Amino acid sequence: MNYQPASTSLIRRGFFAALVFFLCAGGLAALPAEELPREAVKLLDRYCVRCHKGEKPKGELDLSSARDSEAIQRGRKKWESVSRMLALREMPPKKARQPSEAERLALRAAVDAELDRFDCDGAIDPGRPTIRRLSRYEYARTVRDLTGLEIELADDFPADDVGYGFDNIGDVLSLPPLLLEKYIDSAEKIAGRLFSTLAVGGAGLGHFEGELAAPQNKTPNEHVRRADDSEKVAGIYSNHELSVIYEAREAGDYVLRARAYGSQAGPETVRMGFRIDGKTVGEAQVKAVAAAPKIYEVPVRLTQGRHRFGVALLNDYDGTNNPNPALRGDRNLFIDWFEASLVETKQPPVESSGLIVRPLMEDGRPHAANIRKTIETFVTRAYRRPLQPGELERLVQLGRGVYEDEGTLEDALRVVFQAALSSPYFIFRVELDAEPENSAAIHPVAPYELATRLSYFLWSSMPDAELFKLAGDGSLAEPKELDAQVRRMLSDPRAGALAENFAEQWLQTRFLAGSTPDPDIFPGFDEPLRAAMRQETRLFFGAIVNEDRSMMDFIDSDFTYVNGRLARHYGIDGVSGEEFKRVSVKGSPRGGVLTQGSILTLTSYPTRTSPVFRGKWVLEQLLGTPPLPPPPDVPDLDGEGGAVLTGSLRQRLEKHRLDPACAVCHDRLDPLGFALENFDAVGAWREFDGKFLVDAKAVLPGGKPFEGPDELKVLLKNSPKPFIRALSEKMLTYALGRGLEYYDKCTIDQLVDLAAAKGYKISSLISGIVQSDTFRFRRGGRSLKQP
Amino acid sequence: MSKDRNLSRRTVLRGLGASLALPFLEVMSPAMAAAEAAAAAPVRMAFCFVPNGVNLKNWIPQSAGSDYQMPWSLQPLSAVRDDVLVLTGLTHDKGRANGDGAGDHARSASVFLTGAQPVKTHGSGIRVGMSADQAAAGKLGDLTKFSSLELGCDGGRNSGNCDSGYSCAYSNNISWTSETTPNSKEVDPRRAFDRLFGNGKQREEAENKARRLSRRLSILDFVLDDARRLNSKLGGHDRGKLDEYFTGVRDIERRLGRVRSSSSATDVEAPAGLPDAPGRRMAFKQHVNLMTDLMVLAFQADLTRVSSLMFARAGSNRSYREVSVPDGHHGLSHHQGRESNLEKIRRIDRFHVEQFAYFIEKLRSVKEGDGTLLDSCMVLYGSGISDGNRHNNENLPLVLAGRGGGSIDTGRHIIYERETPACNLFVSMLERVGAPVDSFGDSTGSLRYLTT
Repeated sequence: MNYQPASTSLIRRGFFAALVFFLCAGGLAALPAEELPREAVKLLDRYCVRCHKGEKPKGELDLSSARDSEAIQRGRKKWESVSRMLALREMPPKKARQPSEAERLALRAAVDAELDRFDCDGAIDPGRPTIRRLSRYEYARTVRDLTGLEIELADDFPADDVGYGFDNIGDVLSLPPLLLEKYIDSAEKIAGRLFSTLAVGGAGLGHFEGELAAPQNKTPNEHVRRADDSEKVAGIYSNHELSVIYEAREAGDYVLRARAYGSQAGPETVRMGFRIDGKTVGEAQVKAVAAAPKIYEVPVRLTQGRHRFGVALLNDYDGTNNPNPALRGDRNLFIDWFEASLVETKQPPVESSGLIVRPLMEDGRPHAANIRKTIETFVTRAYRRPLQPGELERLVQLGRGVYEDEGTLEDALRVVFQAALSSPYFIFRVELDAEPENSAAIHPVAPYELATRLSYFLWSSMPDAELFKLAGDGSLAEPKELDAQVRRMLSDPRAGALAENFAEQWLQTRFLAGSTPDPDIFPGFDEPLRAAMRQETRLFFGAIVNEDRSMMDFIDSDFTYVNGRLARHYGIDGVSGEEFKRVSVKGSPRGGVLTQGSILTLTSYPTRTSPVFRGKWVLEQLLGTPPLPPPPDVPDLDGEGGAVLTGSLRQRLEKHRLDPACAVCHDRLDPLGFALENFDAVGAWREFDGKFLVDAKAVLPGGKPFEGPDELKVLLKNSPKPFIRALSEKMLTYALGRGLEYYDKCTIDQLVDLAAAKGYKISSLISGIVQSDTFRFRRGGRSLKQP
Repeated sequence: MSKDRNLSRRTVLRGLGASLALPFLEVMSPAMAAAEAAAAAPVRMAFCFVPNGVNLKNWIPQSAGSDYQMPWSLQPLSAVRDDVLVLTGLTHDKGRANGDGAGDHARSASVFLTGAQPVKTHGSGIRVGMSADQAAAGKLGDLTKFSSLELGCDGGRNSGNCDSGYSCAYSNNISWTSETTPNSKEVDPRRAFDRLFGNGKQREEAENKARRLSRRLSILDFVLDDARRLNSKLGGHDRGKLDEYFTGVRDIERRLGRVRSSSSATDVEAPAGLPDAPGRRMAFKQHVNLMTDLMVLAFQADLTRVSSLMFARAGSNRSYREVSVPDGHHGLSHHQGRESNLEKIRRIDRFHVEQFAYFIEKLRSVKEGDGTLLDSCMVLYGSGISDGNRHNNENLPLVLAGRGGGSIDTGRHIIYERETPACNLFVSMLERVGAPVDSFGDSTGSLRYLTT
């Protein structure tokens, strides 16, 4: 079973017990640790033991004895299943006597509390992440750092699936055929781009729209004119050309291009000529038709100066009155636009990237040593480790094959690079065990693998030269060095990945892209506002990392970031323009992530706020205690009669909570959301919800009243540990790329204590994770029988 | 996977490489095959998934047989009424909780084509079952350039949890190449088109093409070698992941082997409205229509015989302003019996069906042999949940279009006995498409009454 943050240690969390499990806070937690609390034993006897006892207990599960701590630890699997069955409401079975929701939760909490008394003395079990392929985000950043090319290729990849809240989980990252195909295409494109010497377009570009050029053409209107049935193209109706004056700024190679289509008629395809100074310098068969024009191009060499540049129909045909229907029709050529541009020969990017050790040729022969060095350097970085014996030979062999097959040296290197970028050693982050099937064989993560863990955690990318060096000389694993590296890496711009990749998943602001506020109700919501909201959260997270601030700033802060658009939305004066500014929000309801437009919007419906979603978001993302899913057969909000309830949303929800089955969870969920009701579904401040005055008063399950975002934040701030614990769990999951297990509780405990001792500075968590045994060690897995 | 199998496949491929111009390759080319077999067009199968169930009251016809009255939500299909079957009463039992608690949306997508109970997990040990489309693709894949084509209109939720403890892999995918590997879908129509037909820039001289191909093959050789070396050092869990790599390489090799033989399909006309470049935003309707246009083109050119399209991921909360529904679909589907919600849901249902009808009409507009492309198709449309409020998996809303090469008598509403497994339909479809199985998922046999 997986570590279930929701179920663990609730009882020990003072504030949280009050907020959530009020009924557990007093009685159960105070009882001695040795065995299940008396109340829990009673519940167990009343609801479970009737069937689960004796010689032949139901499901071979005996719950009538061995209910002390030690026995529960020994029988983890059994008791974990008890907890799960209670949570899922699978047990007791429907026909048996049912506990109330409160009893159910109390029993489960007591069992979980026992499970949670996991003994943290002795060696920590570091667990075992499944081999991870690069996520889409990591791939793009890795390619950038490896080659220096800014590419968007990864946008083309299918979305990565998510598990445990993140998209970098080894177990979940699958490699379907479509994706492998894209990896291999992408490798070809990257390698091709690295060695490409041609840059087309931009320089010396002359671009002409057909419909604008046509009226100025010197031919009579009957031959060349704005097309009869489209305003946007020129039509060429007989063997004439449409031409303009183009000035070539220098002598050289040019490319002539036209976006065109034809009306196909008669036995031939439409033929288009490219003309320079009246001479046809190239031809294209225009098969495209009006629905889908295509771009055709030819190369040409031009002298410097003015030229008449045109496109012409070469094979006019008029079979309008042809008696043979197959030959009937009128063949014409239509030009959307045509252009000429200088083809520049430039240095291929691979030159400036320093990826090639020059010279590659010596005395007319390939320079073997430099070629090997080039290959070794690139592939070492691509594989994130030194090459193993024989690997370089195989790579050189691959290149040699290309060279001997009439390739140039560049071709050969290009193919070698392409192969490296397609290799599983590049696509996967490989970590090896000496005994892959022995779960007791705990060992330190190898130095290069540790460098890779570190760089993907903080940068979502490959290790840089310094990490490589430290991995090479074995010093990286020293705690002092690790600390120094974390500090260095966090101050590097690449650490922006934490805000973009970690924070956007933790806070779920990636979802914002999918929010569709109703434009009739929220006419002010547009794309610039959406983008600004997302950026605010990124910048805010970035500032906390950069300035090493307290993690409690996520709950409440006296600053945020806005640009003109967002400032207007928030009602903040003095900021205009697109650029973001840090502003003080002292004395305003803003501050902390809870009051940011991004989060308020993504937790709303398109037409209205949802206190339930907002409450769920707080419990799940901030406190790590997601509510149980609703029981089956949720009664209608309308009640039996089916009459449409009137009143504000809030009143309807209050009504909903009158049902005790709903109340158990909604007493936890709704108050958190109610306190945020002054923010509408796109996060703007409001006093009224429609015609109803907003009521932001709420009551904790324990009966403690509070009101509005400020008091909600105070409640959260007064008891930091649940939040810090939840954030630690999320960040550790992200850093390891696996779901947490029960034994990870020990590491989490340590992280929380460490953070508390250091004033909750975010660096204490990040560096605590990196220093933890869980991060620095791994082990084999249990032998896996293929089904 | 076994090494030997790999090696022998490589050997075969090398054989192909050495025999570039052998006539038998010509014979194997889809174009030729199509010409020769014009009389007996291949049977194709396609699946369309819509999320969140439907408003059943406006979906289920009152009476069975051929003279049923078209319910409101299905009316867009009136024009193709004679070519469709409305199927009611079929059940996906494995979409039910069966002890796993909440998460019906995730289950509804993952069970839709697999008929299998997904293992409830956030990530570790993802497993459901091979999907029906892939069961067909496995058998027929070698006959066409693409063994199957997976399309979708949204990329899937990419952070957070998708549904009550189920990994997002379950709600984002209906196609599973194996019980542990979801088959990702292409969501950008331009990219899908380019992948199918090439993007025009790939016009290359024959000689260049051959060289590029041989280089690709040597790269594949190299990386396979890497993968084998790596595989030998890994434990069981990791090897499972690397298996996916091997499968992918095999797929590409197969296609490369075919590229050289098949006639170029690059002159296919792009569907109207297809953007010039990938990444363009477009209206949902246009998006769905383009995707089905591509399915039609791919079937027409016999580039594949198996395809699937997810209108949206399970639990999608898209709003449908096209039909004046500003609310999120998922939120609405928990309609709580309220009329105003049910009214909006039926508008969404009908809107979806309109797009499906567009697809079916398009298939019917393509002539093939003596009939139409639709005649040789079996297109299943539906949801893995029947009523969004009750989250139930019996009496699923399903429509089957096309005559499966003359093996299905369309134009009727068939009411099945309660709890008839939807998997029985897959058994019957797989048989008709030429990939027969003894059983599939929780099937109890083949599906009756498809012929009269």
